[in-house]
Amino acid sequence: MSTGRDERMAELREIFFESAQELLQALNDEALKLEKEPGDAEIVRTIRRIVHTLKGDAAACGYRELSELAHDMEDVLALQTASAHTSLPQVAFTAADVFGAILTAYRRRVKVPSTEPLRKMIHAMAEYAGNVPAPKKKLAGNKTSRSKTPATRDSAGNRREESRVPARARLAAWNEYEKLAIQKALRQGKKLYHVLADIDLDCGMPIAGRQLVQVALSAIGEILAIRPEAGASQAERLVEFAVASDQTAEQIAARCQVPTVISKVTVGLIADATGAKDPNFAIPHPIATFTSESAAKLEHSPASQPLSESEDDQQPTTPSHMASLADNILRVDAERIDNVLNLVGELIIGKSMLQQTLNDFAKRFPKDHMRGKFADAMALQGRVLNDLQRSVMKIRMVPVEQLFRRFPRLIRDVGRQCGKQVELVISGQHTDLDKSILDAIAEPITHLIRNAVSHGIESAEERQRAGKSPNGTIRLQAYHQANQVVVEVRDDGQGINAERVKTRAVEQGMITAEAAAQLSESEILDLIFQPGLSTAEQITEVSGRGVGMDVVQSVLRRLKGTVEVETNPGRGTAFRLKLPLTLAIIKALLFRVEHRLYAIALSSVAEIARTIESEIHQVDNREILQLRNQVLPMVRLGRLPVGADHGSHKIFVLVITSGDKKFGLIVDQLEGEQELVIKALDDHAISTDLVSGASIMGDGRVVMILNLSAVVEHFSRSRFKSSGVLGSGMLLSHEERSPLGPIDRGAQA
Amino acid sequence: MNDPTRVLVVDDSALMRKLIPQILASDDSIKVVGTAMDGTFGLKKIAELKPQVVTLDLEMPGLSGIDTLKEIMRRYRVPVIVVSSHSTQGASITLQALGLGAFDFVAKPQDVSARMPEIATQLITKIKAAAECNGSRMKPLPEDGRRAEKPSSVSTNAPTRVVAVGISTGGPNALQYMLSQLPGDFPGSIVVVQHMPDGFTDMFARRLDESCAIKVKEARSADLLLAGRVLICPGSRHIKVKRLPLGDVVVLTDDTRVHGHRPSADVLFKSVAEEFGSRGIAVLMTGMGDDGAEGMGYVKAAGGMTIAQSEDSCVVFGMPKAAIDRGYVVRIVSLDALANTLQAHCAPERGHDQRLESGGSGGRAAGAGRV
Repeated sequence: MSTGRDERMAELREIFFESAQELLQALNDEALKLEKEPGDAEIVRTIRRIVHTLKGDAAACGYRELSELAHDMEDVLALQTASAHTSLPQVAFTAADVFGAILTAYRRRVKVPSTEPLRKMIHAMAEYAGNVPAPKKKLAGNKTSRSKTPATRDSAGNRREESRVPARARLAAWNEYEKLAIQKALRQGKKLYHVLADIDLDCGMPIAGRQLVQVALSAIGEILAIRPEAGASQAERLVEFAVASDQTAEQIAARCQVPTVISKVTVGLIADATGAKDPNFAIPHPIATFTSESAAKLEHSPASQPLSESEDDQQPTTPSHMASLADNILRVDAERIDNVLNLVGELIIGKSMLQQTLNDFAKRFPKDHMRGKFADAMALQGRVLNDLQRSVMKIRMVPVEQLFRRFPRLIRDVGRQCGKQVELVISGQHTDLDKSILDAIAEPITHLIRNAVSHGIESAEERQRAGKSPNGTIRLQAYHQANQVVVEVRDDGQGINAERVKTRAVEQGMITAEAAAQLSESEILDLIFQPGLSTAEQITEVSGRGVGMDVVQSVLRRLKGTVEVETNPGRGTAFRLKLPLTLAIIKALLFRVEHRLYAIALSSVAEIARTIESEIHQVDNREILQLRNQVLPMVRLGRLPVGADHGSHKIFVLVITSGDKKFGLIVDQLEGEQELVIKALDDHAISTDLVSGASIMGDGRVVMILNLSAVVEHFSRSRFKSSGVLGSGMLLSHEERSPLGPIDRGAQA
Repeated sequence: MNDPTRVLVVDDSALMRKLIPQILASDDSIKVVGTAMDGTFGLKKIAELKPQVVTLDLEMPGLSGIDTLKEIMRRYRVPVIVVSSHSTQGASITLQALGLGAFDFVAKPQDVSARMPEIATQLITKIKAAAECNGSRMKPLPEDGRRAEKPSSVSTNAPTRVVAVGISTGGPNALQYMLSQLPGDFPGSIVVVQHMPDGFTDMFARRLDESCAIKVKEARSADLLLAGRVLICPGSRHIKVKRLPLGDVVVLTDDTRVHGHRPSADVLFKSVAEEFGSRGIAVLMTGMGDDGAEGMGYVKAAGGMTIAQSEDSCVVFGMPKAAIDRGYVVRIVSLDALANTLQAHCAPERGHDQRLESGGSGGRAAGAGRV
């Protein structure tokens, strides 16, 4: 067991989990298709192939439960009758769920969850199949029907099967030699008895018990067969004998009484020379197994059936989406790419250090002829570095389709729960997005879709009353917009009732009535992202937007993205998640507030204006600036200047667009623009979400990257909370800013 | 010879495309030159990379494994090792693939972490053997739909002689060829050890039974040795013959592997020598390795007949050669002539062997009790 091998195994397992996830997704996709086209043999074949691959992979990794379950499922799917089975899509869905649960359990190394629901379904399908070609079955009896159902022929299946077969039926499977012996005994005029001895396993000598009965029986007749066969490692409670004897059943039973060891003996006459059964001891399984030719023949007749199945297998199966993947795809651990990306980040920092040094050099030796050469080399390096960065970023990009593929199933399930017919229209699924962002928005989008189906879309009757088509439609769309990717979830439901949201927010004490009165419609809609409001059940019922909208918001904020909501009463609601293309590197604008260095993404800066303090006016607890013909609300990050001449104090205003809002950031000083490699800050290092990360400059200085959406939200919230206090000084430390303390804590949620 | 064997892996499972090369990486004389995720890609890559051996999954989207195999056999004649799954359909389709000219098959690797060495050895030896056979001797079986006429009733007769066959790589086709030439009233009883993983032999026996006049079934313990019947030993069990008061039977055991094999032809041959002595016939046919060679020595020593398949008719001339080299083989017979040879040796009028005669010079096991 070298470590190399362990590593390889770990790697294989990773591949397994990843490809298994894909297989399950494919399984869901096919099941959805099958639901639309019930009985399509082609889809059933594809499903079977998916299950087949999963089985093989699981077996290779030694995951027995999964591979055996998949095996059973595959076998049932191979039955001729499988495609006709109406509940097949449901079985496939259940399979995807159960397999998924097992996978999760494997991954977390916890106990594998119950697979009973799926097993039951598989079993039902096998039964169903067994019932269709009925005529042969009756004659064939237990044994033959067993070999005809592939689902029960594997080792695992067999074990289960046997445990279901009543104990006494086991003797039906005479082997050839035993048949010979029985025939001979009957020819000699002996009677054939079935003796079932129930051995008390607590007696301390269960194996001896078997022997005792054996000895007793040998004394009065000839034992032709024993089940379980000799050599079984475990003591068995029930031991069966086939005994040829000329004594009566009562005599035999009496002989076998061994107090305390044998708790019960049942003796039945199987046959005598005339082939007649003793009516009092009739044994359910037929004696036909050895008296008639039929059994022997039937044993082989099923051969034709599996063969014809195999011919089906030759037919080409439809190429699934997996075929469209090129073969040269490498699966790489995301961590490795992140490592490369980190190094690229360091290189960029190195580049700015070099640039800095070069600038210093140029200042000191303005005439030196080396300057030009340095500059050329720097330019080349810069270009290469840009390409390198872009290439690495591209590695991290994956089409949003990876995520979108999950949703048809979700909509189907939620739709069923709510009794609504909802269609999903997906577009722009080939838009690329950073993998980590894609992973992060899975939950918010799931949530939005769930809400849209359960609350946004009205019931069919309501829709018809409103003159809409009874089936709801949800559009899931992804597209590029400027430097961002927008993922939009749009439903054609009833929309959000803004008035109710407002009333509710006031009732809940989130805003004061007068603050509420001043809110614009979009500001009201923003309230739904407030954690307090979202848990209010009544609102959920009325407006349809409820539990967990704050989660959507907080995820988006973490990603440096924004979420916008647009609603149209009676016509529907759209949520737009605006996401950065990537998390790791931004082009940033650097500025100073209170002598500290900050940065924001350059893409969000619409304009930079210079002005003086006296141009800033205070209206209704907020500072505004009239810029040309626009009135901009101001966000003051530092403190209000004091002193007599503060009115002439020069300031910069960064005009920011965040979502559909525009506002101005008041900053003290501009430092220029630069590419920044974002380093995450862990929660211990910083206690506010106003800062989303940090970066290191070429000269070693640390710069904080502002989280704009948090800033905006803070700013607007501080207005509801504390009228009379200006929303300023957000970026000050606790001591400097004590009156505004509570705001920050609120934002931590 | 110094150049490594070039292998192409065709499998739709990403895991397998990783795992199989990893397994093969343990042997320097094998080099995986590429992988392909379906048949169409596979064919393209064969043309491009010119592998010497292809491992092929049979269950793939698009061009199915069987169709891919047909194309490979038609256009490239590269030896193909089928990587086959453990299911009823898997067995059936695998045997079909062998009928179409696949060199051999291995079961899909299972529980790799625990059984790596075993899996690796098997796959590597098969690939090497495949590379050496250079494809010239593999021919697809003629696809005639001829269904053999079965005798109307199952014989209950004791056989004249007991024929024990040991066979491995190339076996399914050779065996089918030989057995299909035997009549339904063949007077001997045949027991076959075909090296084949668990789960395939049942289907194999069914297929043979379909295409042969002689009856074929997978052996179960205590099955009788009957004239005109072939018993195929199930995968991963040993098979022995045993004489009992009411009739002769086969016994299946789970004893340890013999020289890495279970079933092992050595085990079968030895028991045939012990139980049937001069009434025993041991036949070694195409296959890798030397299983059965030692056992043949016992059969010969006990006065039985020993036959080896000739080199020119073997896909792999390993097991017959091992027995020939040891001097245990009485007759070397080509595949075409094997059926006739067996009939001649089993014919009841031939000399002293009479039906139901319970003689036999071999040392019989004492106390023939119940099984």
